[in-house]
Amino acid sequence: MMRITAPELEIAVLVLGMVILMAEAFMTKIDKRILAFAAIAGLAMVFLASFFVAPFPSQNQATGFWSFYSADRLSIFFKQFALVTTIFVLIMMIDYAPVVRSSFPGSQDGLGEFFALPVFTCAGLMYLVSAIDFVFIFVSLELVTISFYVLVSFTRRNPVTLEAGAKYLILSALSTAFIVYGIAWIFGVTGQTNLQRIAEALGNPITDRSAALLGMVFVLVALGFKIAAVPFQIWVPDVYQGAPTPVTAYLSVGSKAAGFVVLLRVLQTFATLPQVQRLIVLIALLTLIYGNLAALPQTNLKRLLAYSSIAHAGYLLIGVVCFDEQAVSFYLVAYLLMTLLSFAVLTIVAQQTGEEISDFDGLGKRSPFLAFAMLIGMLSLAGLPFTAGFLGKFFIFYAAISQRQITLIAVGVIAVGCGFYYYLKVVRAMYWPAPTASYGIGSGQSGDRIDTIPVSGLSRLALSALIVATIWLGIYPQPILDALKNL
Amino acid sequence: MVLFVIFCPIVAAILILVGAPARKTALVASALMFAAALFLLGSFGYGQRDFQHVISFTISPDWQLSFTTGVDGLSLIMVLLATIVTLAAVWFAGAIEKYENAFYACLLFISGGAIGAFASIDLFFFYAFHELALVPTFLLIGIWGTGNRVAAAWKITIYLAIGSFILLLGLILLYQSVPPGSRSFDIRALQAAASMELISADAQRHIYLLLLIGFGILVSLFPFHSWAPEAYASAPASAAMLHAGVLKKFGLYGLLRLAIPLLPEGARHWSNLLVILLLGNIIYIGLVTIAQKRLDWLLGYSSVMHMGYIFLGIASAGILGVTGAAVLMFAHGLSIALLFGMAGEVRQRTGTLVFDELGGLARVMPFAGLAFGFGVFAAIGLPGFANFAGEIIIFFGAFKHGWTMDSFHTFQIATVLALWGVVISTVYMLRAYRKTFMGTMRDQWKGLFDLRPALRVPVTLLVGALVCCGFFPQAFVRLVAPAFGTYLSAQR
Amino acid sequence: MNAIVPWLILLAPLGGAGVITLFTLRWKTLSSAISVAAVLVSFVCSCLVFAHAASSAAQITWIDVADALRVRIALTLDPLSRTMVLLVSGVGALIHIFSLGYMRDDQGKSRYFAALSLFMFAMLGIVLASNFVMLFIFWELVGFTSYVLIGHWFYREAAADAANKAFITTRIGDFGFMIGILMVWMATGSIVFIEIAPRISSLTSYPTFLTIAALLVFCGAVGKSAQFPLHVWLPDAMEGPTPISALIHAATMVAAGVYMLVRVAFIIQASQTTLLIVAWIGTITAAMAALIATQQDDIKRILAYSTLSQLGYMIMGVGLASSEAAMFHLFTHAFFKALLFLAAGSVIAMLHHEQNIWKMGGLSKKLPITFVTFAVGALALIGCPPFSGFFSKDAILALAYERNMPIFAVALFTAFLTAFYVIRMLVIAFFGNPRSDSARESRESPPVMTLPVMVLAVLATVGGFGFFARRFLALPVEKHIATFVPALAVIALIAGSGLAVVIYRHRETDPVDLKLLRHKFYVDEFYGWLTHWTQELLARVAAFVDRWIIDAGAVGGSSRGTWGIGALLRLVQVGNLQAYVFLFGLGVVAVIYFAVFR
Repeated sequence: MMRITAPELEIAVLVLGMVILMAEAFMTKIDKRILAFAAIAGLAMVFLASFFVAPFPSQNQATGFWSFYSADRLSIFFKQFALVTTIFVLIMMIDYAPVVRSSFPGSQDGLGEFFALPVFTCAGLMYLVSAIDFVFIFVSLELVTISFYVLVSFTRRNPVTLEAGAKYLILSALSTAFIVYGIAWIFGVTGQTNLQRIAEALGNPITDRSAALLGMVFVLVALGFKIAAVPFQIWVPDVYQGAPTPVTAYLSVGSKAAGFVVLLRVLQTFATLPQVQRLIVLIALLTLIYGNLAALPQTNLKRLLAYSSIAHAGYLLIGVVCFDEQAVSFYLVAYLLMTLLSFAVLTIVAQQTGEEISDFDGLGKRSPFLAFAMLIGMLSLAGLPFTAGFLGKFFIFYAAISQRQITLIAVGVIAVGCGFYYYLKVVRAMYWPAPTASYGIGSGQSGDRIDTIPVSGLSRLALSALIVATIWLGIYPQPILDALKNL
Repeated sequence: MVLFVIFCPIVAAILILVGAPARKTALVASALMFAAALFLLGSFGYGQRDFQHVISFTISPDWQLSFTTGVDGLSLIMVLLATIVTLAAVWFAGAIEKYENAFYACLLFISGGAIGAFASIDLFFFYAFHELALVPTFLLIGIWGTGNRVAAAWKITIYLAIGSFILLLGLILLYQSVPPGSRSFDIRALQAAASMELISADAQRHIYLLLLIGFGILVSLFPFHSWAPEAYASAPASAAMLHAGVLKKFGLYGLLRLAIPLLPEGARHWSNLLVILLLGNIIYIGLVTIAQKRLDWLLGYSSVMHMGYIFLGIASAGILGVTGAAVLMFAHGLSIALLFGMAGEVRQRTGTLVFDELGGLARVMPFAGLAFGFGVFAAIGLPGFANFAGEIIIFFGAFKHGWTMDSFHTFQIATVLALWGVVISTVYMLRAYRKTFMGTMRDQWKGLFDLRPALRVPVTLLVGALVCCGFFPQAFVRLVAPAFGTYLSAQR
Repeated sequence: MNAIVPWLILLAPLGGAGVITLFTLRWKTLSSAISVAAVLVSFVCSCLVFAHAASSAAQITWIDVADALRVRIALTLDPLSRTMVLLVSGVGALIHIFSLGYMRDDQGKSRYFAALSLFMFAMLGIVLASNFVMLFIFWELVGFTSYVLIGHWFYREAAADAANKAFITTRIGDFGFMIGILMVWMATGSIVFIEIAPRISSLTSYPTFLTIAALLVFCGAVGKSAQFPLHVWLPDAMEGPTPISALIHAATMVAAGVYMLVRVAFIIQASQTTLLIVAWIGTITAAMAALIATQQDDIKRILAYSTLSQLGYMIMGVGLASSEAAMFHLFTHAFFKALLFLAAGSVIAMLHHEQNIWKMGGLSKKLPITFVTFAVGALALIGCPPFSGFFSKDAILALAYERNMPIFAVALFTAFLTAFYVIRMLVIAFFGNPRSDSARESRESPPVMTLPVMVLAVLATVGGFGFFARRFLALPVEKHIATFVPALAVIALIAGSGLAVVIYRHRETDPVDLKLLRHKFYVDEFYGWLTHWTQELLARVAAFVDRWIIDAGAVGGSSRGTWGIGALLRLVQVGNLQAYVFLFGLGVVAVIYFAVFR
């Protein structure tokens, strides 16, 4: 059996990206979608290969490459996570291609980049999750962020998109500045960039803890930006709404997940500092409240999903507060499934009608399959049993209760209540009689507006896969639990 | 067999969704469920208090989580109730003009969820199955409801979602209250742990409070009741039958199943609070009910009010009280289903349930009048109906609790007030009956027609069950009492 | 065989009722036939049981909760219940037959007979009950059947209201009754009469407890036997068909209260206070009802009030610690009151449901048989020797005379009043000239109606004689003063009747008019006022609180509040970049401040 080491995965992905760019450049005649299929196939192979990688914990005395690159279970798991995400995002992008085309009239320029960039982002994410050294964290973070700069404002003819791109660019740059500054502080205090060594240094009484704490806080700011935690969530609604839908999905799943992995690693390093947990608790509280309450009045589904991604960051932060990697990881998996599901449906429906919730009126009649997919997605996001989302919440709150985080739990109750409201708003739009329609779905103008929405075979497959996975994990979570054992 | 009863409705619902003939499939499915429940009853081994027909699939060994189903006397009664009411509800539903499939699918999902909850021995699925019914209820009220359906649907859904989430927290706390070695979602394992007193008194108090609030919201315990009347008033008849008749009993079942055996200390500690709240249900809600001017609201409130008696039985935490509570749950489920069904029929014909516009309907729809009358007198605890049997056992049990010769204590006073509640319910129920079916009739109703002959079947089914249990309550007592005998022998 | 027969008494009517409701509602005649057959069966069985004291050991366990509470359905067959069974099923049978005629072409005939059978079942159940819970079960069932039968013509507002009133009022009595049962159960640890009896003596150390418990049990009787203050439902109950008034609201059901008190006499008599209160309640009821009766014009209502006052006598007897006297009066009263009602019934039927005595007159010639029988009943009622009423009432008066003088005085006065209003009714209705067309062209009723009346007339005549009555029940022992009291009674009787004749001979309208009595002492008005200002008011307040404070306020408020906060939070998303950067910086500062400098 062939031996694969973790770094080869990233290299493979990078090579794949190069190849696609080359193809884009030199094979002008072909339908650029082929590139996407190629990318998907390639990533799928990498994904398979990743299962043959033998994880091993990073040693303390490791030098050279292994001093900033860890191939432990957690990182392998999230490499796979990143790959899956990217694959689904690419599938969405294929559905989204017409929109991109429309913004480059006449030609199909740019589609190639549109398909290639996610691959590089993916590589960045994969590096990020194995990064155990601040320098490396910074580098891979930039790799991710820069490719996102382009992606977010890709359909630049659209002013909204452009504005979103600008906002993302500037705020993200700001946060990057903060992380560099923070790293500098920490390095100045401890003389180390490797997380474990920093931890040891902090254990040493002579180090100036408050200075280190300051540095940590700066780093936290940047990570908070990535995972959309209050008070650094400010960009999320606008950017999510403005960016091309697949990119939004990518932002809310990929970069957020990576952010959380890094956050876990960094916090473990600084766990010895007393103020840290208090700070995270506060941030978690604010994020929960803001995300859920601000989502209540939303009428635009994409924006609603933006707020919901803030809300879920809140739930994840509860897990972080309790330092329960299992819970966080499981929640992220569930989050991946349900979020991608919702965005996939949104991508398809939005091209036909629009992104407002009211555009989903009578979807249950128009296209039962999409409606059902959306239903599962929403119920899972709301956290109804027999879906992955419920188990995610279950493990999170299990951890919270065993740590007696009373305030977090209390706020969590309210949050869950709100969640039911705004997710079921979508369900209501899809199945209830449309306001315009006279009593009864059957007789809905919304029903006649579009008979049915065409769904390509590939996305139909993807959607079904996501639905099945969501429900399957909701009933039988053991596979993931095994994978997450003894992280 | 238990698995069959649980999954029959769910499978049927899915079949209907993919295009099977809705009404026929639903009827067949519910009939099969009823038959299966009867079979369970027949093959049930009396006297032994542990679960029977147990089937178990391991889900997660390291969480001690497994999909385990089975029935003991208590859950068997609830399953029986659920199947009877389901059959009746489906039968009453009749032809739905729009989205017939979805309608019947939702009904079956609700009943499947309820049965699953009753028949699960595993806490996790006990909870999960109940949640299964949440969204169907939302859709049923929202799509096919009448009156203020939108507000009602939102209220009940959010309220119950929050309630069941609080309940979930309680369950998690319960799971954690056992030392790591013997942690399990299996109720039997928890009971074993409790009997070894592994659950500290302090933990018991916290858990019981959480469960009380969580279950209380689901059962519309005062003051968490305000979702019930409006929802039932605006829900389609079948949905109201299923929800008020069966699903609402889940909370009470949960308290009987968990609080009584596992948290005796918690029950003792909070009993005074519970007594106050349940008196709120009986007296306060009773008075509110008297003031109602519409039949559907009155029935909704009455179903809230009658929960008080069951809570009284649970609060008294004696073998008598809990047995009576179980019997009364069964009885109330049937009677309220009958009443809602009849109210639905009336609404179908007259288009209104405002008392001042009705009256004398028994002249044109005698059978409906008869059936509604049965429901009314069952509800006010007339001997010969199951409700009386349940109530009287509860009264004896509650009155006995903490008795001394020289003076009345909490439970004696509570019993007296509860007995006055019987008078109150008599007042409003008879008033409702009189204003709807008796007295002079408006000319506009002259043309109304009586119930479809086919509907005599579900009515007879419900009334028959009520009367059987009313004449021979012992048959049910024998089912339930052993399930508690071991825990409550102390309080005898 | 002996084991079956007693059960047959109980189950035959139940079977009848069941069969009718389930199957034969459509065929009226068949239903009535079934019902009559059922009652005859149970009458025959009662005779058998009465003849040779069959004791039934067979019993059904109704509830048995792990030995904490054991309720058995078992029959008591002591002399008392055997007599009562005979009485109930006998009178019941006669009234069934009478109903065949009276309800001949009624719409709800089947319903009527089903309810009648169910009533027989319930009433016999009360009589045969061996424990409190069983008694209570049938007690409630009797109330239910009475509800159904009063509301038989449910489309009449008055009937519907009367039915509700009757049921709810008795329910109030049963509220106390149930508490009493619970207290007795807790104190003695049993609900079976024969087990309680010996243990009661052990409770004498708790006199107040005993008194309260006994009085609460008595509440049940107050409700069922329509004693003051719960008497209001009985007169209204006359909205039901007349045979019902005869059977349920005169002969049997209202007597159930008395019977129950006799059954549990050991509890009542355990406390002197209780006895006194019971006696006075009876006395007050007797006098009050008699007073009201003197000013009523509706023949049935007059009879209803006479029932009230006779029941008052019985309760008085119980209160004077003599079950024998009470039972004796119950026994005779059953005959003559049923007789009176049936006779009145045939009058009413022949006058096309005319009940106002001022619309009658001169009926003595039109309906001779009815008149004679009615007169017999009336004489018995006013206690004119040698009719049955004389002996039984005399027994109670004698008792009062020796035990409690004030009560005796009132009772005597009541006897005078009774004579007055009965003779008044007799004079107005049957003598003088017909005062309405219906009265003029009235004819005698068919035999199916007259025969039962005649049978009852015979019984009402001989019922009081020792040689007859002794076969059925233990009579109170005659005292030496027995010559003096009857004399007074007869004087009161003559005075009353004489006065009535003097005032009412050849009158077209009522010369006397006493508002207070016409309005029944305004008790109904008072109760109406009371409920309106207590229950209804509370209900409206509670409804308001629930609708606006709990629902709209607490629940709705919190949800709207959350939504509002959400809307506010959204305002942060102003959309322009400078603001965002500023806020971002602000956030950083806040976090640093919170983390580092606090």
